[in-house]
Amino acid sequence: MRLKGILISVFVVLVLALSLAPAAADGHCPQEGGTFTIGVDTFLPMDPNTAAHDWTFYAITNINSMLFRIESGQPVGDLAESWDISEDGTVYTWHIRRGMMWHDGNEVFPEGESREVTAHDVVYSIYRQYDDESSIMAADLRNLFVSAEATDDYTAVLTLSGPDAIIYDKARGLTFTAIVAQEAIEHYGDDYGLNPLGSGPFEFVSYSPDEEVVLRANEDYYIDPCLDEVIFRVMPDVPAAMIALEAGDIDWWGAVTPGDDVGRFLDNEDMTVINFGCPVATRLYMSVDKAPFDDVRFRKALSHMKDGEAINAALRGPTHVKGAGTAGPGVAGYVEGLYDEYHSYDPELAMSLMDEIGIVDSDGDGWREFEGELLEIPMFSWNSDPAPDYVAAMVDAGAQVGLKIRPEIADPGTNNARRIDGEWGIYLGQGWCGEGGTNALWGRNGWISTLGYVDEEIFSLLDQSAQNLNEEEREAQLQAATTRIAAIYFEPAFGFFNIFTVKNNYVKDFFGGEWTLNLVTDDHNVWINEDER
Amino acid sequence: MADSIVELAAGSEIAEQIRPKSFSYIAFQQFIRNERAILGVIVLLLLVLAAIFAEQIAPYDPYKTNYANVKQPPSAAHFIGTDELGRDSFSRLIYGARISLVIGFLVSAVSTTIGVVLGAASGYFGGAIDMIIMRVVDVMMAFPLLVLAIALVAVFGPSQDNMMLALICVIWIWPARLVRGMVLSLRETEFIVGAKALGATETTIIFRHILPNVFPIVVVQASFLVAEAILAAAALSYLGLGAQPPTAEWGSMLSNAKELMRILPVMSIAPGLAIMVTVLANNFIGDALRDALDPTLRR
Amino acid sequence: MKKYIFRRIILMIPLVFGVTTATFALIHLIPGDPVELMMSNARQLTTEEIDRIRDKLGLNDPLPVQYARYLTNLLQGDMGDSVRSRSPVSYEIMQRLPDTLILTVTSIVLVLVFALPLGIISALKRGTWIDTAAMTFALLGVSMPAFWFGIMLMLIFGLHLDWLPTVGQGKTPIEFTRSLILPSVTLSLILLGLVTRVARSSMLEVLGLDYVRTAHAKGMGVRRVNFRHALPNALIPILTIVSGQFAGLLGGAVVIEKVFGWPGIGRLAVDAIFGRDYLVVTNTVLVFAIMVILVNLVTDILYTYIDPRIRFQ
Repeated sequence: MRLKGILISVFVVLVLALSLAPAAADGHCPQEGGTFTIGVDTFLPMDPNTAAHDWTFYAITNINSMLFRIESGQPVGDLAESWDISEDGTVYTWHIRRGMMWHDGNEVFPEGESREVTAHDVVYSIYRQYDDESSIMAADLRNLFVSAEATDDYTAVLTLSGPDAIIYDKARGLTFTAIVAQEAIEHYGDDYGLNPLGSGPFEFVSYSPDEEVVLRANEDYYIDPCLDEVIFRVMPDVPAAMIALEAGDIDWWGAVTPGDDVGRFLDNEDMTVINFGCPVATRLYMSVDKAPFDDVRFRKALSHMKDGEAINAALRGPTHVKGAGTAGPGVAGYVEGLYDEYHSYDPELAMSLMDEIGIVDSDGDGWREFEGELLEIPMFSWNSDPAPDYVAAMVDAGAQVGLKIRPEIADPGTNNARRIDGEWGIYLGQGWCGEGGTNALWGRNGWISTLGYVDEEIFSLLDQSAQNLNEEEREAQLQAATTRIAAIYFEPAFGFFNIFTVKNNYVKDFFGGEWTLNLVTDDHNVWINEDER
Repeated sequence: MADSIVELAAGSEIAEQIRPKSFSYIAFQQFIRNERAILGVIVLLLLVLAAIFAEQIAPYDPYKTNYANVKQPPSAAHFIGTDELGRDSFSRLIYGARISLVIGFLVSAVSTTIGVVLGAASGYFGGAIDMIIMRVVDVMMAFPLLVLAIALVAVFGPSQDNMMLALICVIWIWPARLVRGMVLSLRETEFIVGAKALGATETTIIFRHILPNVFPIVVVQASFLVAEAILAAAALSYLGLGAQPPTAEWGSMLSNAKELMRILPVMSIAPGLAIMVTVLANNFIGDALRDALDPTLRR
Repeated sequence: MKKYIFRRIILMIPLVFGVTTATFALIHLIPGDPVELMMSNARQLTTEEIDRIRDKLGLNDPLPVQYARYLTNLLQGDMGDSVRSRSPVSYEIMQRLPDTLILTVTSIVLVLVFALPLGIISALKRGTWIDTAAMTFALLGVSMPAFWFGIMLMLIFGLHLDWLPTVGQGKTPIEFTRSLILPSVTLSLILLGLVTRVARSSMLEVLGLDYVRTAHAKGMGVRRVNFRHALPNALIPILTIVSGQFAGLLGGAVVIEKVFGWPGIGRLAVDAIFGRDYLVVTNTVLVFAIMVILVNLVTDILYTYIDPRIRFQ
């Protein structure tokens, strides 16, 4: 899934690379020191076994070394300087960088008494995730895992039972495996996540839940970090965080920036808007094994009765991207033109489709009945912006064609519980750009689906693509799945939105986060221009 | 000295004339002489009228979306602009009066009724009933009520009705405590003891002697509970636990306006002001009622 | 006296037990469980994985078993682990409790510093414009949604004037104080109006009492009478109000911590309710309850010092 990363707005990267390359290339910092404050909406303890959470991984990937990092969607070396993959894609040989030391000056390794990170630590970290069945180790890797062994101190070999096409994918495959020290895990036990210890560019200093995490530069790292300190500040109220960002109280908002704010920040000369590079679909899905949703014409009617494109544009502002399917432009499996072909606004068509199935208003009260009873469809959604607005838009669109839609908005927990129970109704869905979303909907490759989506051809396309290392073939398989889903299953679509993050311009040489947050690498060394602050 | 002469001279006729209207008449007199009370009543009447005739007053359908016209600033066509779905905020504000008033008065009325019944039973009968009711009240008093209401809404599922139910579940303890205390002290007063001695039934005692004495104070408290309920409902809606979109309700409008706070501050200001005016009118009335009805305050 | 306090503390135990049981029952009535909630994160779990995690967390046991286990552990001082963060609940609570206490205590201090003088002055200057202005201000205060007031403050002082930080908590003492201003002012609004009004009316009441009149009649200076005799007696109802509203203040803190990103226990409780983090909810509510009960206890003890008559009851 290398394509996914190309999603990073090439333009932004280019501009940044051109303007900042000299600083990084010289290997010294234009300005030393300073604190980089990152605002996030939530934060979890930093144990790579439990923290299936982007922002928390931003901290983990600076405290711990990873075998590789993700940069512009591609894997680049980190603890593994390089690696070889066997012809059949089942054996990965990782060559470990020499001289990487565990952080010292803590309870586990007193100052000056640290030791080198070796291939044995890599093996330990992989097995720690594999052996803990409740760990977040990605299902694709768990299913394919055969063994991990250290052939010498600087060579680790990972053997799989089949090729894993998503081993470098964000939040899949090996990207979960941060390298931890056995001594630290044993010393802290269950509290390890509160006292993480690694070999990355920054050392852990303190963790105050729901408040902040403080890291300081690791002076023993193989590259000298320009920053003195990195702080993750937890701000659950996003509008308030946007004010803080503008006021310079935080330097980068690492979580998703709402569409309207992106518009404002685009106009702000002191801010840079960074495209995360993975458009996320907003769409409806439903229990397709239950009437009347089992009739494709009804699903079609649901799609055509609403002006999805206009709704999406209004609610997502400048982040909005037209399209349909789970993969957006630039993501593997994206098929152009699906929206116009299957989801265009056509209330007349929607009404005639419903008439056709016998969903008609026979008692003249303005609302349609189904099998003699008022058809009142619950629409489930979670309660944070802008989800409730999509519901409001659907209720209004339904009213225009005589279809009664009842909003059922709940906190994410309740909403999820309903979906898992497969409650009858329509669900607002979003997230997992690309095949993650498709797999989730169809219950493949470690995802579960409770909504009755069953189609052997789609199953087989998804399963094949998950193990196909040939990018062109993979792309074709995913596109075939997407097209078939659009034509036969009709998941009513609104469109995509781009995820943007926003930084203050005095933060230099910084290009945003993609699961691994690369502040100090061979190509980048983030620094703060205090004169501009 | 002079007073007693007049009293003696006037004899019992005048006293008889005054007496039937004494309490409520004086209370009414006192109430209408209070300028704030009048202001409060006028504002509340206007709000009630707006709520009843929302269809006629509101310039637009509050639920009609218009994607070509979203996030407009205030203008002649849209007094306080349009929201993220292009709906007219002013029309939504007017419809919102309906819901806020219903929430306020319904929650207050129901929880006061429950509170009076349980409080009176607890105070009058004492014993096991009192013991059970008061332990429940004690336990509930130890919770921050908003946290309890949040948990209750989470149990029932977030919706406007469930929010009202949750508020009733937590608010009834105030009138209950108040009424219990009053009944306890009334129970021992001479006229009740006397009535009992004369063979009055319990029903008579409760309905003829106790409740009428409790009533004025309960009305005063109920008027303040309207204000409390509206404020609590706004907080719950702000957390996404109250009226659900697309309902035009002030608290959820505020919650909705969060995202647009800096682009369209008017969307945050207007519903907040509407809540404040409604609550203020209620508090004016509550104050005036207390001055008028609470005999202990009348000096 | 000692006996009285001892008896009160003994009486606390069934109350605390009641609160814990009620919360435990309530939170388990909410549909959905924490493991299902985890699925909204980056990755979905398979059904077997979900079941394994439930087993590991003991969520597959019958409720009474879970409750008994909770109580046994609690008596040994172990509050269990948070499902969401997988760290000990006691740690999470202790991390945040001081922040909530600082916020609420600062608000109470603000209330006393502003509302007391305001109420007393308007009582002394009854009927003047000062009285009218103070009472209007007090009424406005109790009529505003506090979180809305907070947002307005944030817009004005945080963004437009840029005087104060908008969210979060400062690290250095100066920054900390600055970041405390907006949330504590917002929270104090909940009590400000009420206390001003109570201060005024109880001062008025005391001024009308016989012994104050007597003191005046005896030719004592007005100021002396007011502050020596009237004020201390007017304080009792204020103490009652502040302690009686303490739970309300904690409830208000829940919303305000959320608005201002203040890392307090209220926010923890709400997030945990939404996250079905059972043990965190039960234990935070337990801590809330203990705080409220303790405050009431301390108030009752204080009464006996301010007003010796109470001791004989």
